[in-house]
Amino acid sequence: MPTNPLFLHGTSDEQNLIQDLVNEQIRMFGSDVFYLPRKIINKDTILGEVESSSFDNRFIIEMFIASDEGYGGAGDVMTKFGLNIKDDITFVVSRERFELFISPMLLSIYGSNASLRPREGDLIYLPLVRRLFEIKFVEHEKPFYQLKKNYVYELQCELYEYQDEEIDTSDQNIDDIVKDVPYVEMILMNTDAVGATGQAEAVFIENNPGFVRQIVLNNDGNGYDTTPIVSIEPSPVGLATANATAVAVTRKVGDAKSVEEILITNTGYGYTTIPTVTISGGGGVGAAATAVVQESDNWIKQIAITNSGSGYRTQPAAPFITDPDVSGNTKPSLVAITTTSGGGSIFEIRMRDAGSGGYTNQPIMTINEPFSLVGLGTAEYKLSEVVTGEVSGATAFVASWDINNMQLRVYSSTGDFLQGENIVGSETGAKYNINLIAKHAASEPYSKNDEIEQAADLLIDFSEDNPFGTY
Amino acid sequence: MLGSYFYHQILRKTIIAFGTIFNDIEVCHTDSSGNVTSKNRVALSYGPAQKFLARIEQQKNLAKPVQITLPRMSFEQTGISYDATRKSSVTQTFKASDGKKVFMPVPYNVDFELNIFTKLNDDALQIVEQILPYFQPSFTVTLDLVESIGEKRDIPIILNNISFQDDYEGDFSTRRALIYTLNFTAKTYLFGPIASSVEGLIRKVNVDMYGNTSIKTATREVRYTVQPEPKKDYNNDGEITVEDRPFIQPGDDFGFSEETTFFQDGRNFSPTQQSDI
Repeated sequence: MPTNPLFLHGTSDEQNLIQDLVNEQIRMFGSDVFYLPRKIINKDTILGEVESSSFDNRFIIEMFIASDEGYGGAGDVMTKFGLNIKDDITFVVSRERFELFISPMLLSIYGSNASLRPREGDLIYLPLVRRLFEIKFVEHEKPFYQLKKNYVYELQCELYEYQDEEIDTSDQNIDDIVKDVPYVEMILMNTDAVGATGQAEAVFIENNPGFVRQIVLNNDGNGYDTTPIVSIEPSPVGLATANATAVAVTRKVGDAKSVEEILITNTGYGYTTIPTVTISGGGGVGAAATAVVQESDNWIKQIAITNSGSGYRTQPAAPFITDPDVSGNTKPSLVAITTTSGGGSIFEIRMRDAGSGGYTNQPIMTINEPFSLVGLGTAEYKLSEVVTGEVSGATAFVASWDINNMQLRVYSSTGDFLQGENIVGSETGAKYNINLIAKHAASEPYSKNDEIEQAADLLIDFSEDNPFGTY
Repeated sequence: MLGSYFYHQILRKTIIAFGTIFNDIEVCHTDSSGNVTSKNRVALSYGPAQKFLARIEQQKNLAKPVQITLPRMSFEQTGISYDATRKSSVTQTFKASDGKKVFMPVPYNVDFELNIFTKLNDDALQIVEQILPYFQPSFTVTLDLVESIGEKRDIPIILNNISFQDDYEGDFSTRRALIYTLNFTAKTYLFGPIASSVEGLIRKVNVDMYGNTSIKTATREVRYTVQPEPKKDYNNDGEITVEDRPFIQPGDDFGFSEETTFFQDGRNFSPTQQSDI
């Protein structure tokens, strides 16, 4: 039997009236909450999971807390995984308000992928209790089509089950929630600068002109698995000290291995003709180079290291000659070669170009300080900023920084920081050197990894060579 | 009846040794380009705990903002059983490195359960894959079971089986629970009481023989005495005599002197006075 055609069962005016009443009721009896849409960073389409996600935005909106008698769910439960707080809560949000105020913002941020309705997996921060809830289910048909329309979304939520999602909404109250929750590394910084600037002096020679100023690579060859030996024809002077020496630098790109350049370690002297340069060994063939001889007086024959320095974990800026500044001459182009020994030190200074010579006074050598010392200890880390290890490239967020005890706590690291490297703040530029890392000491009280490890260190004989216990 | 107090903490040590195998497991997440976005150590704890302690430690200020942090692992001892296959003679002893005589330990199997709770299946697979290759099917740790004697034993920990629970079906009011359970058996040994002093040397044995069995009237008539006989000059007096006898140590190479004495004095040996009366 058809419905009575004399009744409309809901006109748009009636629907709008109800919607307005609903909106008003929620505004009067609801609470302000923050809606945090989930941004999916990486989705595993095979296993059907979101591997990485972040919450970068927050939108304030009023919602009615339907659970007026407190949380639902099982409450605080003791499990084999520690305390599990299974609190449920139900929010009711006006459909119109959500679609008018939040949906457009979602569209502007996420484009066509944005959902115009509240979405399962998104978060709601309730300032009243300072807790984060995850939407488990969005009920959109309750009450069921009153006057042919639905006016609210009912959001069935549960206290958030946190993993390592990035929460960076720029609201300190929300962002601080997780700063102590994830697994935090405690890093103790050095109170003193670690590293020392190396020193060197130019070995100046005033006469016996005719030195190998440069070696030009004519053919870089191929197949050089190891560094080939560079032999330069001896000087006609007949003394070993008069002979020029040089070393090759190899380069590997994919499977191709060739000679990249040849650097002079000793220019020699007394060359009257261009000496022959031979490149041999290293497992490769084809590399060829030609020496360039300069006949002027007063040049830098070689660079002697007087102090290897320390802290040179990365290649420092090129050493340079600061004095004398004779107009018209070309200064040497130098390369510092570092070694990892002694926490990173200068092993040798080689010359790409020994310069034109013609100095009137003893040239003065300057080696740059290690990058690890540049700007060290000049600022303070800021909460939640990203910090990066200068050598490891690992990044993490700052959970806390205690300059008095030089303790930095970070979370959500993307790799392993290295002892001895500097950690640099992305916003503040703060830079300190790592003295000790308490590896991933969890701030989560449940975690007893470190306690177990320390107890086991006293019991287990790790020196035992056990073929069935190799790890 | 069983006697004196001792506690070597062997079961506790076995629990710790088992737990520490898994305390460096990490889980990594990447973005769509494969760059690592986070790398975290998986929290590990011994499952059973006093409830009040768990509450005051894990929800100190009653305002825990999240339900739980994942992934995490827990382990617990689930059983202890005697292992008859490793049984040795109950009277057999061995000498510890410091000379103490120790009865052979009793072989016991301790069962453990390792539970892995993750939010993502991929996390669970990362964790399980970091564990399984080391168990073929056992992984052996060398454990200092009894510190006072320096007794280190290889304890194989055998992976018995793996099961998992993935409650992904059902309505949306319940959350998916993804739990892997790995069952292990640690083949440990339990030691009895250990003597506080090192093994001694019996320096003299007397055997008295009687003419009849009356405990009232019988007197010893023959005494057979055995004493260790030195084979080297301990006191450096140039000769090997009975003077060297007190210096003989357990483990030295020595002989025995036997002496048989006949009595007709009607006396008996008094153990309390250490003389014939």
